[in-house]
Formats: sequence, structure tokens, C-alpha cells
Amino acid sequence: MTNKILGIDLGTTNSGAAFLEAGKPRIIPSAEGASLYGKAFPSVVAFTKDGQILVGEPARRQAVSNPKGTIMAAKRKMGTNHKYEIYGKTYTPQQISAYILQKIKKDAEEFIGDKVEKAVITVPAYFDDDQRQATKDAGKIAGLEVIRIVNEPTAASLAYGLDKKHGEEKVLVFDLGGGTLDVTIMEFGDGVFEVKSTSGDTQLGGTDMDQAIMKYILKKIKENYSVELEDDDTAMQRIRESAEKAKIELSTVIETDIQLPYLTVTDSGPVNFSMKITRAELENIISGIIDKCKKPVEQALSDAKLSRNGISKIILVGGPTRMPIVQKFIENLTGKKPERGIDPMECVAQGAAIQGGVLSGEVKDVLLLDVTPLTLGIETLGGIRTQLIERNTTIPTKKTQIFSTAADNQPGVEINVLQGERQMASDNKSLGRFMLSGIPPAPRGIPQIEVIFDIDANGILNVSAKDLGTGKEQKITITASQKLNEKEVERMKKDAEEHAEEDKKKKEQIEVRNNAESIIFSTEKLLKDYGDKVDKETKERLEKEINELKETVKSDDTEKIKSKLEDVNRVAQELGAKMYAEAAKTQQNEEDKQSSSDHVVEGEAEDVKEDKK
Amino acid sequence: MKENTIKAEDKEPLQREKSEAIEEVKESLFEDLQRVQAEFENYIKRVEKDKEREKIHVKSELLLKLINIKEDLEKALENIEDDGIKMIYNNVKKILEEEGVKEIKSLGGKFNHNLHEAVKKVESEEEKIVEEVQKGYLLENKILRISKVVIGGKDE
Repeated sequence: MTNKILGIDLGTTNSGAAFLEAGKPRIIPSAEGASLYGKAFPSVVAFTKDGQILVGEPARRQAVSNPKGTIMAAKRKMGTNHKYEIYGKTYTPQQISAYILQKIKKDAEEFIGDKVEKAVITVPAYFDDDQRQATKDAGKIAGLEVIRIVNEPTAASLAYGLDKKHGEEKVLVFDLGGGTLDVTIMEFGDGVFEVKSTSGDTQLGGTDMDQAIMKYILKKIKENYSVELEDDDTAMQRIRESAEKAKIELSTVIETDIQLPYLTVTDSGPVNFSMKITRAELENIISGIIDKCKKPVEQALSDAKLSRNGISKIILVGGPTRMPIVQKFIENLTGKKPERGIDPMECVAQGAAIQGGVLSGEVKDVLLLDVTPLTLGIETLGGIRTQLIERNTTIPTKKTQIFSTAADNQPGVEINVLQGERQMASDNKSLGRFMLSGIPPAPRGIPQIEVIFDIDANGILNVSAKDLGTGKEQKITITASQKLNEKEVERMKKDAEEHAEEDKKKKEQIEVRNNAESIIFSTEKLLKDYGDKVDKETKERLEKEINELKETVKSDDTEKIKSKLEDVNRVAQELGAKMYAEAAKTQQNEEDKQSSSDHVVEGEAEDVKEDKK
Repeated sequence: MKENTIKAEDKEPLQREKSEAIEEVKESLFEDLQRVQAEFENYIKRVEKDKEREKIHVKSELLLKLINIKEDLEKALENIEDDGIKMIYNNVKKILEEEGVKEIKSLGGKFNHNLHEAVKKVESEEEKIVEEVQKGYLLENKILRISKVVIGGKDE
């Protein structure tokens, strides 16, 4: 039993829910799949003539065909004595809301894979005690224990982590939904949100904007083709869809196309309508609606006895607040940039889930795990930094990687533990180094050295290196005090960004050289072992190419080395092919084949250290 | 000597208390560990499901764009005869079929809230779909796009 607590945003037009996953809120998708409304679903309940109860999308779809059996916006009737009379039965608003909550519970249980019995439900800040009680009752009817009713603006603030801020904040929450605007001003201090004032408009929202855009497109069509399309349902549907698409697109681009081929057919032929629409045009179209938002904000400010610039934090809620013009409007009005980073359509449900987590004790200190601020790795051949644990990895964590030697008969390897984001070892901070010696004589690349990085929850790093051949092991422990402080971390991150390009070049240079050296080694070995099996001419050509490559490597010209490498590879392959042909002729043993075409890839070889201890 | 014995006796219940407390801590830690482990395993399962969902989502987005083109070609063919356009239309249609897209049958049929969305109701004797405002499609028996229809029926 995980005993998850659901955070539920029980909205007037749409509802949704979230839960905490590894301490972070996660939205539960509605079971009909992604709809126009994102991960939420319409707060619609319907009773069909044949006795079915529908909730969400299916209920909304049949609303026109069954207006008497369909209930929308039951939230507006919560806490009143209103009764819905449907096909001879009566229902309270609580019962209707309970159907919505039941669907949420079912979807959540399916998604989480476990029973869900507790919930935090949000309500508007202006809800009175009766309305809050009714919401609680709805939860009870749905089989949910409502452990807390939270104000929607408070939940939104929690999603932004405002409760973790020290000191006092004056928060303005601007919630513009599909059909309503709610403005709330709260004061935060000592861990408590206190509502100072609320204001709003119950007849203002995104739907009005869609309609205004549609009207504009229709006007343009009429101007160009003098056709009236209001009665053509198919054409109107296409226009509605293109208006919506244009609105969404214009939040990220400043101009978009609306194209509607064969929109209709007139006496003079088909109407292929096409127009460009800019963000400025769109903003002009909906400016009247935006203007209407001004009064409620000013009202809320004056009720809270605050001046325009007395607000310290702005939180936006609702789909339409994604539009740049809405953000600009609120910024101009208050002189403050809105908080960013959380989907305005999801932040209320997310915040409710966070509240649930706090109440259940899931958000415990012990569970707050740290991350490694910088990448940890070791120095490898040519002074390259090879990463083992990437930065931002949650700790405790452990990473194992096998390395090898870079030279024949190399007696030992040095492990240089590095911290930082730069590609070259020397540009990073060395946290410590140690030797693993006593490696038995072997060709390069053969010994297997297992390097383990293990960081515990306190950030203490244990690095060990073990020769898998002999079982010999060496280790080092690096405590927090040896690591970088916050300032240094920031500086190193900045450094890495600034030097990213040049570091990349340097690393490539060394990698190409390492690769060349490895090819020289393996090709020479090939010649030594099998040289007598091929004709003299090919052998000599390969020897010449190898010598040229050796010379080129000294030059440090990456491009030249690369092209020379290709030459060597080509001739080596020729030699390999000839060898196979020869082998087939003499029906030689299969086992020799592999080594001929297999160039050793030397990516991870250890730095050569002539250790003569 | 006697004193020592008393002390030893005294120690015992203390020891027991201590070990009980340790047991308790151990149990609670073990429970925490189980929770974390369970949550992690569930998380992995969820990630798998998410991947499936995401795959279908990405495919749907692309198919919907293709459907728009198919419908534009359909409208073109209603107005002009052109073998070339007809071929392109058939090709696009074939791709959609191959990807598992099926058209939802609407016109003349009964309204079904799982497949259709009623945008308007008009007076008619029989209760049926009288007009299809936007064609609907299924992808592997799931709604890719809802069929938007006008329904006929008697006024309630």
C-alpha cells in the first residue's frame, strides 16, 4: 500500500488531479486520453435516457443531444439548496460533483496501480463555509476522505514553492480560465497564506477570445469572397479549429498562416481561403477582452489596500495566461514579472498534491536527497577527463567502469579523481590521486582495471580501483571538506560553458591522436604476426603508411592525422582481405580471422605512467 | 560484591528497552525502504506505460496532420476531375490505412457518445445523425479524432 493522497483541482469547466511521485507532483491523465483540454477533462456529468451515467468528455459530446440530462458547472451551485431534476430523479450539486470525483479516483487508481482513498481538494478563495462543506461532502460521497480543503490560489503558490520562501510576500494570483477570471491577493508569512482580497468576473475567459478570433476570420472571408458562412456547420467547424490553432501558435511565433482550401463553393467557383495573421493582429483582436481584466485586478488591489507595486509575486493560472499578451498585461499593471516554469493549467492540481504530501508526511527531510553539483571522473590517456558520475545525479549512487592500460607491460595505473565540467583533466579540480601497482606484464589494453565511484547520502566519495586479473585493490575516500564550495561550483560551471567549444576541439585532437597510436600499435602487431602470409608489396605499402602516420602524429595536425588514419585503415583492410583469401586457400583455422580486421579501439586506456616503484 | 550484582540486574531491563527501541527503528527504516522500493518499481512500470503513451501520442499528431491533407484532397476532388490528384489522394489514404487509421461511420447512423460529438440538433422525425460536420477517425480502436455531427430528433 502506497496510500497516495490525491490533489484534486475540481474546476467549474475542467477538472484534473495530481499525486506525488518521488516527492514531485505528477498529473494524472484523464482516461479518455489527451483531449483538447490537455490532461484535465470537462466537469460535465450526464444521465442518458437509457440510464447510463457519463462523466467528462463523453458527457460533453452528447450535451446537445441530451440537454435535459446534462449538467455543467455544478461547482457554481455548490453550497446552495439547488436541486437538479433529471428524468424523475433529484440530485444535489454535491452528488454531481461526486461523480466527477469518482472518475478522478478511478483514473488515478488505474494510473498509479494502487487504491486511493484520501484527497486534498481545491476551492476558490471566495468559497464560504457552506460551499467548502459541500465540497467535502462530495468527496465523501465519492469514497474519498478529504483531508484538507485548500484555496486554489494557495495551491498554485505551493506549486511554485512560495511556502519555502523566507520573509513576507504579497502574492497576486491571476486565474483566467475558459469562462471565468478569479483574482486573489494573499499575504504569506510564517508559513501561512492569508487571503487579503478576491475579485473576478464570472463571464470572462478564453472562450471569448476564441470567439473574437473566429469573428475576425469570418469578416476577412466576407471581405474577400462576400460569402456568409454562419449557417455552414462544416465550414464553421474548420474555421473554429484554425482559429484555435492560430491562437496557440501565436504564443510562440509572431506570424502564422490560416489556410482553408475549398472552404465552400460559390457560383464563381471554390473558395480557397488563405490569410496571414500576426501576433500584433491577434492582440488587437482580443485587446477588448484583456481590458476587461483590468477592473477586477484594480478592485482586488484596492480591497487589499495595496498599491500597484506593492505586490511581490505574481502567479498565473489557467490556459489563456500562456498568451504573451496576458503576461504583458499583468506585468504592465503591476511592474512585476510573473513566476514561470509550471504549466498554468496544472499548477493548482500540482499544489494540491504537494499539500497532500506535506500532510501525509511524505515530504520528509530524510527523503530530500542531494545531487552531485559537478561531474566526477578520472584522467585517462592524453590528459582527457573521462566522466563516471554526471553532474545533477541524485545521491547515493554508484558507478562502475572497466579501464585498461595504455602501454605494453605497464606495471601500474594512476587514478586521478577529478571534479568539474571541462574536457581536459588539467582544467578540472583534482580531488585526490592514488596508484594501483603490481599489474602483471601484459600487452596494452589487456589488463582489466575496475574503477568504482561510490557516493553515499552525505556526499562522501569512495573511489576504488581493482585489477581483475590479480584481485589487487587500492582505494581513496574523499570527504566533503575536500570538495568545492558553492561559489567554486558556480565558477566551474561558468568556466565549462565558456570553454565548451575550445575544450571540444582539444578533446577531439587528443582522441584522434590516441586513436592513431592505437591503430599504429595494432597494425604493427598485425604485420608482425601475419606479415609472412601476404605478398611483399602490400606489406611494404602498409609499413610505409604506418611510418607516415607516425610522422603525422608528431605534427599535431588533427585533420592530417585523420586523413592519414583512413589511408592506413584502407591498406590494412586490403591486407586483411588478402589474408582471408590466402587463409581460405590453405583452409586455415577459423580462429585467426578475427584479429586481422579488428582494430583495437582505445577509448578508455589509462594514462601511461612509467612507474618504477 | 552485592552492589555489583544489583547493578547487573538493573542493567538488564535497560538493555532490553534499548534493544526494543533499536528494533523499532529498524522496523520503521525497513518499512521506509520497502516503500521506496515499491514506489521505484511502480515508477518503472509507469515509465514503460508512459513510453507507450508517448509513442501513440507522437504518431497521432503526425497522422492528424496527414488526415487534414487527405481531407483537403477529398474536397478538391469533389470539385475537379484530376487523375493526378486522385492518385495522390489514394496514396495518402493508403498510408493512413496501413497505419491503422479507420474512418468512423456517422451519417444516417445512431448517435454514440463514444464516437460522436453532437454540435447541433435539428428537428426531424427520426433520431439519427443527419450531417457530419467533421469526419472522425479511430486509431487501433481508440479515438484519433472525434466525429462532429448534427443530429436529428424531436424536440424534447
